[in-house]
Amino acid sequence: MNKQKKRLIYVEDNDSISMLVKYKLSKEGFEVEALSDGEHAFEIIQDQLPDIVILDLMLPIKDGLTILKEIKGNPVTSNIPVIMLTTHAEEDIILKCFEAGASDYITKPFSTPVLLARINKILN
Amino acid sequence: MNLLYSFILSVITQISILSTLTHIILFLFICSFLFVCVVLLIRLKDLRFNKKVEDFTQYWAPVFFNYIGSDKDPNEFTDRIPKKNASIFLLFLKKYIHSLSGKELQSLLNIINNTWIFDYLLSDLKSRSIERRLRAIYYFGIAKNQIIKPILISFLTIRNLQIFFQSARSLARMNALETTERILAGARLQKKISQEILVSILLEFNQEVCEYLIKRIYVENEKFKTAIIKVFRNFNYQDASPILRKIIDQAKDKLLIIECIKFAGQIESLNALDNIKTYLQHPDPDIRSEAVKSVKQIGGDTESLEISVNLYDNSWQVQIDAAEALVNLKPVGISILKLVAVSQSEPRAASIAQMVLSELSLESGQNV
Repeated sequence: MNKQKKRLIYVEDNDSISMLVKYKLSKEGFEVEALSDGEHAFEIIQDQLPDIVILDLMLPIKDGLTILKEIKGNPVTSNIPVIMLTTHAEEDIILKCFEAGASDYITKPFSTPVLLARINKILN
Repeated sequence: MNLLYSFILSVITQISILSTLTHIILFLFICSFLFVCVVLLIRLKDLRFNKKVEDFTQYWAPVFFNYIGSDKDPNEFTDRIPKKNASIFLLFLKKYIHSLSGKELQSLLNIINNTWIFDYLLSDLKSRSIERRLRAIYYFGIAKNQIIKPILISFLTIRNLQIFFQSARSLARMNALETTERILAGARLQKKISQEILVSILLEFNQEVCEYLIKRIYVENEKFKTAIIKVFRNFNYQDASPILRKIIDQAKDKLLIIECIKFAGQIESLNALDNIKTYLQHPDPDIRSEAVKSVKQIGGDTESLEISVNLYDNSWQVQIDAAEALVNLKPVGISILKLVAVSQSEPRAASIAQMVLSELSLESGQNV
């Protein structure tokens, strides 16, 4: 019997990195949907109810923190774990992410094996 | 006869004006046309290049992604890439170099250091094209290629700011601390170098650079001294505390004085406190403002009375800074503010004290 694939939504405006993460995580058995801006991210997350969301903090149109608040503020999506990707490891930004309900954060530059380990830790 | 003559003359003049106008219009039209053509050509060239990049990405991405982070020999992958695509490949690499870390980043740097890309970039270093040289310097710096270090050091004396900047930055990225002095010497040859550029170079080193810079600070000019103090401030280099006093004493440049005062406050340099207190009455309000903040950071509530003098400063900004400093110096600072707030003799100082105290009440939820 095939193990059911975990569904993941990755919101990132850097298309190159998005492609790489999608490739690496797909190889690890995830079903990845990559979004390049924050405009309709919440609607898609609400519609697809993935197992986990990875959100870049700096996104065009709507930033990652706003989307995180939307996810956590909605009873349908509030249980979906979210990992935030931040460019700077600034204390106040990280605290804001946790206050808004993020499960974890990763600072850029990052490595996909570490990202994968964090995802697995949260999902297991 | 005269009338006819003037009529003919007027007609000729008008025709001549019209003709000149026609020429101008025609000239402008041709210029506009040529301009549009040039813009279109550039756009077409860009589109063609973008298409090439897109095709390259589509074709090579899966192979590249398989290689990233693996223990595979990079040559197995790069040998398959046509050398005519080197520029595109380098652009492609750049997108990942800045976003990845650890083993994945190392695998990318191996491509630069251990494949034909190395030779390609090496030939670029010797190229007449500044653009190509800059690109090679950048990639070798990112890849921390030690073999290239002597070439980069030789570039420090080239009187081209871009070449100097990129070479110095690449050496700093390699954390080649032994080149600090040469970088400063090279910077002195660059007439157009700004303090910001110098700071951005020095910040590429790790914190150990401060130990090299502290030895140089006395011999540098005030512009460079300011840059060095900025670097110390960025690395929070406490060991510079003993020398700060002398630097402030000798400083004439406003920016250097401000930078020293800020730094002394940041590292709470007791050695420099007495000197900084003298700046509370400096003629320049920007310097007085920084001195107020710094004295508060170093001295704390024992300096409340000294700072309170600046509540009556002739600069509104200095008054506010003094009030904001005092409000944090409980309980002495707040007692002083309360006294000033009810005084009649200095209405401006009183209103500032009232404003700061009411803000404190709002924040704390208690009537102060």
